[in-house]
Amino acid sequence: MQTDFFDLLKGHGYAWPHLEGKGTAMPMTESTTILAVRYRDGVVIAGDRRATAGTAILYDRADKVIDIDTHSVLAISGSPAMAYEIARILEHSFKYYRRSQLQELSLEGKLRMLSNLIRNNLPMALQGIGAVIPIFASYDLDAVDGNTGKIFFYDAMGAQFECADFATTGSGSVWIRGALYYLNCWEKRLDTMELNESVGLIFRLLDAASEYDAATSGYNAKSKILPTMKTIDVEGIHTLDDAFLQEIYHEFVEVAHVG
Amino acid sequence: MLDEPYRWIEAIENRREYIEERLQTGSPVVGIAYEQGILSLTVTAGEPKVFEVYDRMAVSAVGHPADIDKLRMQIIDMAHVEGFSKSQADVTLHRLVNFGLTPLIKQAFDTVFSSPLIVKLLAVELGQARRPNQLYAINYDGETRIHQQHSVVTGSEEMDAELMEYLGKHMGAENPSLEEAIRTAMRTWALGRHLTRAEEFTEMPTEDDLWASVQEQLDQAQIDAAVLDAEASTSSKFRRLTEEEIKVCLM
Repeated sequence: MQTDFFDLLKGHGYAWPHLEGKGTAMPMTESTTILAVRYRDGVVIAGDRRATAGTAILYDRADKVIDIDTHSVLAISGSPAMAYEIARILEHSFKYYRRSQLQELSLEGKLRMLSNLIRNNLPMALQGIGAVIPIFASYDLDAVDGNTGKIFFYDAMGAQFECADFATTGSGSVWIRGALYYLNCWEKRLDTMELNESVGLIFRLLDAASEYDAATSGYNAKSKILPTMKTIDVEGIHTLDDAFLQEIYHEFVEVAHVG
Repeated sequence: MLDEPYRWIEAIENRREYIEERLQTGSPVVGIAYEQGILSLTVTAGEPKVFEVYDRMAVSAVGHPADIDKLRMQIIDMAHVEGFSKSQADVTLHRLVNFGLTPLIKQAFDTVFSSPLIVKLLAVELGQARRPNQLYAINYDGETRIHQQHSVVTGSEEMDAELMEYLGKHMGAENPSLEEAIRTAMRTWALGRHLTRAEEFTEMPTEDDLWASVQEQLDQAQIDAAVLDAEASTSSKFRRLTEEEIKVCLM
């Protein structure tokens, strides 16, 4: 019984990219800031829009937060070529499983599938040119403990960890992880926040990350390029629109600024 | 035995007879394009008979469950490999049916020494942009009929024709609402059942007779219906209708 789309693809001659010999120090487009936080109704996932190669900015409209199915989102940091490939295989795999087996793949099964894909990519990661370190966020409709918004992060070898309240990845993430920890412990629990508050906080954190990490873009007011933000709640995925984001940005970043 | 052409033709005729006999009592499958999508409906004793194939495609069938599954998997595999390596937009029913399914079905039918596929399919594709809705009725020998408004697949060719005529009479020029589509599909199905049971087809049953027959049959079986809904916000347009949704339309 064929249940795995990736096996099917390989049967049709698909080969995972790999390099012979040693990797070269080729400048890669792998820097970014991705974060996912739980809020009152589920999870918010956000990513900046910048793609860089060395010190050059390649692109300022990259979408690093990708819908996988009705209640799952993959946010990617690392080599975009491999990351988009993984996202694409994953999306097809979940659909293929549902359509061929006439039932949804369980959340555990989905996580396992992603883990396998990342492990598959290990040779590329070891060559130093194709590492992919994603965050997977989902809304668990079957959760019995009421803990419905789920956030998982992975290392380059495919090990999977569930995060209680937030996860960050990408080169800019080191600047904001501590801030998130501090806020969540001593200021206000993230999972009690309303959407507005949570999105405002994310804007501030992305701004902080872009202040210290050249590979993370802040809000670019000149060309009105906003970060990508999505929420997952019981109804599914919602992509937050620009008007809403601009309003929150104005209120939480510009007006509230004390400097 | 098959060294003479006549023998081969005879073998094929026998095969036709055998398959048709096996299909004869199959529960008809009706496809109707409604205002914002395509409905596929049948009645089953339990196993689902309407399946999601790809983002804008569904297939339903009359026949042996194992054969239905074999072809269903064939078309799902093709669609997903194609959609992944190129684009969702390149996965068209026309290609899947004509270059994937029907050659396979015809070959299985013509290979008289192997067991035949006992199956007839109704494959539907939700149109978009410059592509219209498509409903492909695929016969057990690989022949296809293509329609844009409605189609039906049953256990025999005569009944196919009979039900197509009934649908033609009861459908207006405009695509109906989903509720109307469900009601028409149910009546068409009931007429199919009626014709299967009637020893000799004498006169058309009245609408009341058809409804009575629907109610009677539903005591032992359930409706399996799904839509490809153009208004769905997700990339997959397939949605199985719930029992409540269907019941409301049959009151």
